[in-house]
Amino acid sequence: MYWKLSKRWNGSSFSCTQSSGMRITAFSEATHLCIVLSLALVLSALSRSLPAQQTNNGDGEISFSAADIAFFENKVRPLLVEHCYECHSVKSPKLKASLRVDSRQAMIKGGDSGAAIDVEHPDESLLMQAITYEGYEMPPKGKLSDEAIQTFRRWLELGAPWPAEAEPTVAGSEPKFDLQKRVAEHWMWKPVQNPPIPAVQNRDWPKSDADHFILRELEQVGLTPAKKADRLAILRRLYFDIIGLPPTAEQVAAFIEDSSPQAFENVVDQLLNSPHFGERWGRHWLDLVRYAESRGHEFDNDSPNAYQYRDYIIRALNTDIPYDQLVREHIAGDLIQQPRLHPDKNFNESILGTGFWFLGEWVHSPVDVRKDEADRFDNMLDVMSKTFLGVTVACARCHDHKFDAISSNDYYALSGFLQSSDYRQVPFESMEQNRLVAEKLQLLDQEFGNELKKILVDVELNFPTPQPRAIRSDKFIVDYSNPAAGDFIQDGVIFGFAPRTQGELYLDNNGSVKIRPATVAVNDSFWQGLKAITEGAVQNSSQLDQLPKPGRTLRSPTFEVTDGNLFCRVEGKGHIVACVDSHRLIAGPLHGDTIRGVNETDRWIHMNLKRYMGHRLHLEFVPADSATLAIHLVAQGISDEERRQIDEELNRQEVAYQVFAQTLDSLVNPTVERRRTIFADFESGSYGNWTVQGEAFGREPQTAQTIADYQGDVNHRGKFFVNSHNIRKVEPNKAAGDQLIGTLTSPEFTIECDEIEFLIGGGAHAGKTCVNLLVDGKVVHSATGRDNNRMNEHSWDVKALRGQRAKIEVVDAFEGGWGNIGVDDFAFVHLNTKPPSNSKAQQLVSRWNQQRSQLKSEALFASHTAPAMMDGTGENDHLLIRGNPGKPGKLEPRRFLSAISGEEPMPIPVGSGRMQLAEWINSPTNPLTHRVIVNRIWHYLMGRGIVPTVDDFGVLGQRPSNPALLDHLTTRFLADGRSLKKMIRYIVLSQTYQMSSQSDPNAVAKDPNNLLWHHRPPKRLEGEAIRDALLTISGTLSTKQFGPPVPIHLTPFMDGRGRPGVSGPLDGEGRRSIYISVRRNFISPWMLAFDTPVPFSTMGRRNVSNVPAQALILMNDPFVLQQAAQWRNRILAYSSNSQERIHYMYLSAFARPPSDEELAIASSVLIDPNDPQQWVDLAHVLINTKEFIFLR
Amino acid sequence: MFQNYPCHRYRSQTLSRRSMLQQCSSGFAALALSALSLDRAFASESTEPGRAGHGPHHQVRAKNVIFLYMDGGPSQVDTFDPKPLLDKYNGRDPAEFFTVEPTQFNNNGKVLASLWKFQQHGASGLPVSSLFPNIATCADDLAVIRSMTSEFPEHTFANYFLHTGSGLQGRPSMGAWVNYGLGSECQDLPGFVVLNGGLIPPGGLDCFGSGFLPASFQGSVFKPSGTGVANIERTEVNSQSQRRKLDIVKQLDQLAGKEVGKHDALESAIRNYELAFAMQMAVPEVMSLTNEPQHIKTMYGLDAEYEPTRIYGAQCLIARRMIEKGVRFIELTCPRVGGDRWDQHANLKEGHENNARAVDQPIAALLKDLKQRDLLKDTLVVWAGEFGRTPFAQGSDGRDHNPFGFSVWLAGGGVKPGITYGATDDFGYKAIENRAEMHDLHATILHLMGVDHTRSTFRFGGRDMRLTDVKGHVIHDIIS
Repeated sequence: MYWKLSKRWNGSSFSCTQSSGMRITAFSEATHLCIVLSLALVLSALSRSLPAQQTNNGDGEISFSAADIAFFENKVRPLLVEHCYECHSVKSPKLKASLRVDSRQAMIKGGDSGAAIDVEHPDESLLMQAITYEGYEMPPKGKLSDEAIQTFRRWLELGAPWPAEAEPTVAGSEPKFDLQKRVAEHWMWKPVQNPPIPAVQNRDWPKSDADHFILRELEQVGLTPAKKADRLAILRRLYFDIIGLPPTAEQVAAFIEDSSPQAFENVVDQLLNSPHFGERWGRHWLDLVRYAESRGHEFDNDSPNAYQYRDYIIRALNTDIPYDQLVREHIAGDLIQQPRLHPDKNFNESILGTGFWFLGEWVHSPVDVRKDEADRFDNMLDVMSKTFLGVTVACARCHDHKFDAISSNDYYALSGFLQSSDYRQVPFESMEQNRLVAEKLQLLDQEFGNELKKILVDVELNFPTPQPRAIRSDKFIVDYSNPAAGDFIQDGVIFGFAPRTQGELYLDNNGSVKIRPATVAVNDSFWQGLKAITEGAVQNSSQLDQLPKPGRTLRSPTFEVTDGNLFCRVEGKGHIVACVDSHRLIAGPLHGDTIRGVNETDRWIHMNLKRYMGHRLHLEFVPADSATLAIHLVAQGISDEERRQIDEELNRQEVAYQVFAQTLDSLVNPTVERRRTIFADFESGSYGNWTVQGEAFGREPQTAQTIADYQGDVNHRGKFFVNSHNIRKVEPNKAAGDQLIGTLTSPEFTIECDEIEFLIGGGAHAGKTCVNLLVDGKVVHSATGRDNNRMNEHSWDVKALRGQRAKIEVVDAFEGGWGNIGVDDFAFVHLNTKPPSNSKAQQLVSRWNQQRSQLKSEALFASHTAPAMMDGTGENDHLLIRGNPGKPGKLEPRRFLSAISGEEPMPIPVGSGRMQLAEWINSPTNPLTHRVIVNRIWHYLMGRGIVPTVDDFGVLGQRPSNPALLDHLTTRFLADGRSLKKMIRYIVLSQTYQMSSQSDPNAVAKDPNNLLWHHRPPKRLEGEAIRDALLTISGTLSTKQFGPPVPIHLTPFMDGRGRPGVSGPLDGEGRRSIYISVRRNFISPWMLAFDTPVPFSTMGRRNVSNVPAQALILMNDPFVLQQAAQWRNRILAYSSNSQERIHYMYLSAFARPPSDEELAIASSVLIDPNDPQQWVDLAHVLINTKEFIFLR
Repeated sequence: MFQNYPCHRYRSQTLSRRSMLQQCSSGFAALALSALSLDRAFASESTEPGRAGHGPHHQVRAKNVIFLYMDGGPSQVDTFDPKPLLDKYNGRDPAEFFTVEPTQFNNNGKVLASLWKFQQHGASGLPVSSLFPNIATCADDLAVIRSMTSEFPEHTFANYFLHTGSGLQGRPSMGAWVNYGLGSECQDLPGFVVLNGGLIPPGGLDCFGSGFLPASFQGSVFKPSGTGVANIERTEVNSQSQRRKLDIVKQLDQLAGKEVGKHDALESAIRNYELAFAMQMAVPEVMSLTNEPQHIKTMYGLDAEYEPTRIYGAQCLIARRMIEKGVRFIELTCPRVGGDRWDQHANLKEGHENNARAVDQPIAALLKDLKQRDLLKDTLVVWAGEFGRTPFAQGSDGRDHNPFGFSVWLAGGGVKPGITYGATDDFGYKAIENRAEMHDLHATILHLMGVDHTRSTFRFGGRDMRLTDVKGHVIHDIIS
C-alpha cells in the first residue's frame, strides 16, 4: 500500500511553496486512475505539506525505504531500460542531449536542457514534460501508455527513489572536449614558421626556393623530377591556368618565334595583367562563396543584383588588392572608414565584398522563422570559416566540434556578428557622394536656420519655449524625440544624422520655411527622386524588394517581441517593415503581416505580431517615393489610454508652435492663390464635344449606378464621370471590364493656365491606360492610374507650354487585367503668387533654397544597388542547445575562435564588431588564413593542394604533404604584401610547375599518388574553360565584361517551378561562362556534367568526374555543333590550303602544330576538301579529342 | 559482380585503376569510381578508408529501387490511414481535440472527414480508400508505414529531406548514394534515372543531384517520350558516319597520348566515348514501347482515356524495362493533372481524384507485372510524398501540409507483404506509435539493398557524410 510509505525528500532547500490543494486539483484531473491509486496520490501529495523529513546515511547520500526501492526496481527501472537507455545511458552508442537516465544523480544533473527530474515539482520535471509529449516528445518512437506515465509521476512523487549504487561507467564513453589539447595536437593551429631553404644535390634543377622544397623530398627517396615539359605545353597551361582561355593561333605562333630567355616571364606578366585574369580566378572564388543569382527553394526567386558581387570580385582580383584588404572587404567592407573607390567611377568598392554573406539559399515562407535564421547563419558561418580559415566551424553548431579545437561556444560567439548585422540592397554608386552632400546639407541648413532665427528675433518674433516629451514608458522600443545612443540607425542619409529637433526651421518640398513642432525622425524632401537600379531581374515575388528601400530606410534597434501588439506613431506616407529573425523573402502565405503601408491620414500604425512572441526583430521605415515619413516613437503593448496621452502631448506641441508658424509663414513664405476653372466635368451627362473612338468608353459618361459594384467608391465628383470598366454587352467570352479599348479626345484649346488638374484612376499601364496631353499631336504629359479604381488628383505643370494649342486624350488601349481607366473633373489652374512681407527674410530664404538646389546638383540620385551588409544593433547570440532554435541557452559574447584569440570577449565599442573580427582573421599570427589562401593557389595551379582538402585543414582533412613548403609559401606571401598575383607568378615560374606529364615508371611505383610531385599529371579543364575555349577557337568569344547575367539557354529538360520566362541564346551571346546566369534550380546541365559545383557551400576543390554525359555533350550538344560550324567558317576564311587550315586548327585548339601523322589522319576526314560540311566534321573531331579538354 | 568486402577498410591507393574496375563493376559507376581514384586529390584522401563502391555490407534483399514520388504530399487520412473519428467530429473545431501546430498557410478550418470510403482488401485486410481501386488489389503486397514523419512543413525543405536526408540544398539524392555505394550493374544506362512525368518538385533538379559526390552519380532526368534525355540523339546522318568520326578521334587520342604518357584519367575519358556511343542506342531502345504486347500496354493504362494516366503508365512501364536492364535506382515524378500535384490546399476532392486517377492503374500494373516476371522479390517499390496533410481543413475544402504523421508504403524487395506499421493518433494528425523518421526510411531502403547506412559515407566539409546524417534506424519490423 503506497500510502503507507514514509517519505524522505532530497535536498534541504525543499519547502512547500504551493498549496497541497492545487496539487489535489491537478491530480483529480487524472482520468484513468483507479480509485486506490488516486487515493494514494492524494495522500502522497498531501504529505508534502508536512515538513520534509530527510534521512542522511552519513555519506551525504539519501536513502529510501525498501518499499520505495522495490517500487523503483519493479516498475520504474524496467521502463527506463526499455524506453530510454538506448539513447540516454552510458551504454548508448550515441548519447542524446547529453542526458543520462541511468542514475539518480545523472537525472538530477540533467542534460543540455537542464535537470531531467525535479522531485519538488514532479509535473514540471522535464521528464514528465517529455513523456507527456508537452514540449518534448519522448520516447520518440511513440508515447508511453498512460499507466507508465503515471508510474513515472508517482516515482517522482516519492522523491525519485533509487538504490545506492555506483555510478554506471563504461569504457570508451565520449571523451571530454579539451580544446587546448586539440590545439596542441593538430598541425594547423601551430604558428607559421619560416623554414630554411633545404639543400639539394641537383643544384641545377631548382629555379625557385619552392623547387628546393620539392626536390629535397624527391631526392630523399631517390627520385628525380620529370623533365621539363615542352614549351608549348607550358604555354597552354599558363593560358588556361592564369586566364582560363587558350592562346590563339597567333599568340602561339608569336611565342614559337620568341626565343628570348624572358619569353615565359613575359607571357606570365602579360597574362597576369590581362582583364581575363579576374574572370578566371573570380570563377574559382565564386565556388568558395556558393555564388548564385537566385535563392533556390520553391520558386527560385531572384537574389537581386548578385552579379554586382561577381563583378566586384573580378575587378578586385584584376587590381590585385592585398589579400587582407579582400578579407576585410568581405567581412566588414561596409564599416571601412575610407572605402576603396573604383578608380574611374568613384563608387564604393569595399562594401560590395560583404555581398558574399548573402549569396545563399533563402526560403519564401518558413513556418518557423527562427529555425530558418539559424539555418541561414549556419550556412553563412560555414562559408566564411571554410573560405577564409579552412576550418569547419559549422560542425560546432549542435555540439563541440567532434575533432577540431572548435567549441560550440565558438560557433555562437561568431553567430553574434551576424545577429548584429543586416542585409540590404545598397546604392553603392551614390552612397559615398551622397554622404558628403548630406554633411554639407546639414551645415547649410544649420547656418541658414540660425541666420533666419536672428532675423526673426530682430523683428521680435518670439520662439515658443521648447516642450520636450514628458511621457516616458518602458514600453517604448525607441522614442525618436530622445533616442538612446546608437539607436538612430539608417541605411542611407535621407533621415539626416539624427532626429530633427523641436523648434528647428527647415525648408519643405515647396521651398517654404517651416518650424518643427516636435523632435522627430523624418526624411528630408531634399532627397526626393532617389532611384535604385536593379538589373537582370528574372522573377522576384519578394514584397520587400518592391519597396523603395535602398538608401532610404530608417531602422529601429533590435528588440524582442514581448507583447504581440506593436504601435508606431507616424505621420506621412510609406511603409513599415518588421524584420523578424532577419527573414527577408516575404512572399507567400505567411509573414505578409510584417509589412504595413502608412497613409497620410494614419497616426498610429498597429502591427499584430503575436505570431512572433519571443522572437527578435527590428522595424524599418521606408518613406514612399516623393513623400516624407515621420516617426515619433515605437512602443510595444501600450494601452489606448497611453496612446491618447501621447497624442495629446503631440497635439500640445503642435498648438504651441501654431501661432508662431502662421506668423512665420506670412513673414517669410510667398503665398500662392489657386484659381480653378473647370474644363470638363461631364456633368451634362454626355461627352459633349469630346470625340469618342472604340467601344471602351461607351456612348456617355458613367454614374455610380452604371458601373459595376465591385469597383467600389471611385471618388468621383458630381454625378457623371468617365470610366472604361463599365460592364456592357459585348460578344460572349469577352471580359468586358478590361478587354474593350478606345480613346476619348477633347476639343483643341489654347494653354493659358499654369497647371492642368484632374482625377484619374484605373490601370497602371504606361501609354496604354492613360491620360495624355497632346501638343502638335505629340504626347507632352501622360498619367496613369495605379491599378486601383479609386481616382486620385493629378496635375501637370504646363507653364512652359503657355500659348500652345493642345488636346487631352483619355486612352484605354490595354486588353488584359487592369485594362481600364477612369477620369473626372479636368480643370485649368491659374496661380497667383504673393511675396512674403519681410524682404530680408525673403532674400535669405531664397538664397537658402538656391544653395540647396545647387547642392542637389552634387548629389547622385540614381544608383545601381548590390547585396551588402549593414550594421544593426550590436548583440550577442544565444547558444542553442543541441543547435535547436527552440532551446536557447546562455548568451555567448562575440569573439573569434578561442583556439586563436582565447575566450575573452572581444572589445566592441559599437555595432557588430565585424571590423575587429576581420582584423583577427587577417592577423599575421593567425596560423590559418594565409596558409589557406596560398594552399588554394597551389591547388588551382598544380591540381592538388599541399593540403589536398583545401577547405578543411582540420583533423578530418588531410595533412600537408609538404608542410615546410606550405609555410615557405605562406611566409613569402606575407612578406610580398599578400599579393595573389605575385604568388601565382612565383609558382608558375617554378620548375615544379613546368614539369612534364611524362612520368617515370620507377617514380610511379614508389609514389603512385604523386604526393611528392615527381611529374605533372594532365588536368581536365573545367566546364567553363571548355565552353570558353570553344568560343575562342570559333572566334565568337565576346570580350565584353561585367553586367547583368546572360539568361541561361533553357532546354526542354530543364523544368520546374521558377523556370525563367526567357531562355537565353544557345551561345550565351558569346560571353564567357562566368557571365552566364546561375539560377540555383536551373543550373546549366553542361556545367553540372563537368562538375561545376551546386552552389550551396564552399567548394574549393571541384570533383573531377568522368561520365558519358560529358562525351554525349561534346558529341551531340547543339552548342558544340554550332561552334564547330563557326570555327569552320573561320578556317575557310583563313586559307584556301587544306594543310595550312589544319595547321591553324591545331594551333588554335591545342597550341601546337600537328605532327605529320596527325596531319595525315586529319586529312583523311576530308574526302572532299571542297565540301564545307567536312570541315565542320573535322572541327568536331578535334573538339572531341581528349587533348582539347585536358592540359598536358 | 562486386567483390564483397568484409568491411570498407580497404585502401584504394593500392589498387590500380584496372583492378579497381575489375573488383568493383563495370559500367557507369565503375567509371565514376575510376574517376574518383584518378582525381589525385581524392586518391590521396582515400588513405582514409576508401568508401566509394564499397559494395553490399550484408545480404542483398533488393537489387533495385523504384521510387514512386508523390509530389505535393497526399493525404494520409484519405488514402491508407482510415480515421473513423474524423467522421464523428466532422465540422468541429480541431482545437477542441488537440493543439493545432503552425501550418504553411495558417488558414486552418474545421475537422474534415475523409471524402472517400475505406475498405479492407485482400487476405491481409489492409484498408485502402476508394481513391485507389487498383492499388487496393495489390494490398497484400504492401507494407504501409502509417507513422512516417518529416521535420519540415514546407515543400522544398521536405522534398530535399525526403530525397537527400537534409532539408537544405546540395546533398546527394538517395539514388546517388545507392549508386555511390553499390555501383551500377547496367553497362549502357545510367544507374540513377528520374522518369519525369512533367512535374519537377519544388527545389528543382537538386532533388536528384549528386551534391558533393561526383557528377557521375547525378540522376539523369528522362522524359517518358522521345529521346528521353538530352544529347542522346547523334548529330551525324547515320551511325556509321558517327562511328567513323569517333574512330578518328580515337586514333588522334592515341597519338597524342604518346606525348603525355600513360594516365588513367585520359584512358577513362577515351573509354567514355564507347559508353556514350552505346548509350545512344540503349536509351531509345529502353524507352521504346513498340515491342511491348498490347495486353501489357493496356494493363499499364497506355490507352486510358485520361492523359496523365497514359503518361504515368508509360513511366511505370519504362521503369520496369529499366529494372530488367539493371538500372539501380529509378524515380518517377508525377504527371501534370491540371491542379497542383497532390498539394490540395483547396479543392481536395477534385485534386486528389485526378492525381489518384493518374497513378492508380499504372502503379497496380507495375506491381503485378514485376510480380509475374519474378522481379518484385528483388525490386523495392517505394511510394511516398514529402509529407501528409492535415486532418482538419484549410479553408473549407482543402488540407494544409502535415509533417507530423503520414503514410508511405513499400513493396517487394524483402518487405513484409500486407502489413501496416506504426499509427497516428485518433485523428490521423501525429504519429504516436512506432514513430518513423525520414532517416529511418532511408536506413531501411539502404538496408534492404545490403548497405549499412552508418558505413556508407563520404568525407566532405570536415565530416563523414551519410544519407542518414547522424540518425536513422532500420525498421526491422517491416522486413520479412
